[in-house]
Amino acid sequence: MVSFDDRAINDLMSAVGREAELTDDDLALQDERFLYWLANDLRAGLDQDQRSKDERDAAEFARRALTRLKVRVAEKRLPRRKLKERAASIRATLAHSIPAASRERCATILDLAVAAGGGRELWDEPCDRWLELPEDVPSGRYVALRVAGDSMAPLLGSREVILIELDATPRVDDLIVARLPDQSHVVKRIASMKGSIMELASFNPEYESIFVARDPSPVVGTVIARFTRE
Amino acid sequence: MEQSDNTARGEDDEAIASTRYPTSARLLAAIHRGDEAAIREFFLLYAPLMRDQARRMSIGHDERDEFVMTVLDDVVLHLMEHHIVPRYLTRYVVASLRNRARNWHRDSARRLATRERAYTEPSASEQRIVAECYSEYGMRASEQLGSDPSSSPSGSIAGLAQRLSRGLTRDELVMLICVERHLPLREIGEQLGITYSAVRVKLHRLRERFRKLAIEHLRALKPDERHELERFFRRAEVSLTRTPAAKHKESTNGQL
Repeated sequence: MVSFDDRAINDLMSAVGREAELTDDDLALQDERFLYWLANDLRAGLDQDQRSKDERDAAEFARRALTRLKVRVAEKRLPRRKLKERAASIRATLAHSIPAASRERCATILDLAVAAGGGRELWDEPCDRWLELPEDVPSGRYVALRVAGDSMAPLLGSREVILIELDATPRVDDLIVARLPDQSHVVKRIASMKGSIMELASFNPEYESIFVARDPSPVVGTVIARFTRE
Repeated sequence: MEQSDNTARGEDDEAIASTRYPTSARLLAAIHRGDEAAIREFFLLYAPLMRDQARRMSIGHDERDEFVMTVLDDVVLHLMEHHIVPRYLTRYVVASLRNRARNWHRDSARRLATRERAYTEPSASEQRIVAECYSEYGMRASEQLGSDPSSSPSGSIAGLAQRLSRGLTRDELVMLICVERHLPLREIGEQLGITYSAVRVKLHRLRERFRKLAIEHLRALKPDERHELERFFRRAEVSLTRTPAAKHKESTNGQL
């Protein structure tokens, strides 16, 4: 013996409604006001634990989204290129090699990994390899450096080569190579420039920002291209 | 990422429950600026709705949070990157999740089918497996789950669902969705553009129609089909048995 009381009929109607909503996009998405109501109703119905978790997740979500956006913007600005290198015409320190390389539309490749630290003086490093400048890069003073570490992942991987324009004036969101007070060199994104302080941020959220003085400038140059060895 | 055709903003911007961003237009403008607080608010506003939608779209409990996070992440990135202004933000976000969930199910089914094919059609499949057992029993045991005719969907259950939804108007289906979501009658009325009393009357009539159709359907079933249907209702958490409070209505309710 089976009877359908009001509750059973309501349940049955709900089951058909659920099925209709699941299968029919037009019905499910038909009314913005309804969806807002639903969003707010579900939000209001959260218990304290879930609410706290959402707060934590939201903060992490916002940080991650903004970082992803910055990476995407940087990827568009710095498309990956194929590395073309050759032996340098002269074997000299970086300071002496730059003018000669520039005359032959090349940039000196320095085998000093950025962010490797160690207090070595960039300009005194010996160089014997040059990178051929891509056609769309205007003549100028450049240096190419090899990246070390994963602080700029996923944009820059370890052992990737970046091309630095030495005379550029960096702006917020530019990628730069900077010299830190301990004489090590890092590649970072300029997150902000407020007053006399410059914030250098990593793309990898596991790394904290670095704050350096704007004057005297610790900026070695601005990253204008990245290369992979094939 | 799903492209929306409703990207032109109208004047009918709907209010959202946020003191800081009272309209979706303001929320979107702040997101476009890369305002971290706005992105946080976007998550807080939509995550519960997205989790609910994901649950309805049969995304497993263990994967749900990550799934929702990924969809919202992609949506917000898309909004920021292309400065898209969906006319209806909530619809846009929900549509993104529904499309993603369907793709997710399709891909899962495809992966499963590929794996199953690797067992049943070892020569035709792109996947190679190391055969440890060539016995008849082994081949039978590794057959696809759906190949057993007894596991096909029951005609009686499909029949009831079809019968109940057949002949329902669009407004009635909308009403059923609202009932399922426990929407207040006034909200249902506003949604359908009818008065509170009209909603009550329509709902009452709809309920009676359902009762009549369900009873007719059950009467026409054979005993084993009826048991099957009862089992289905139990699984769907639909109660067919009378509650004590409903007993006094026995004279007006249909019985089998």
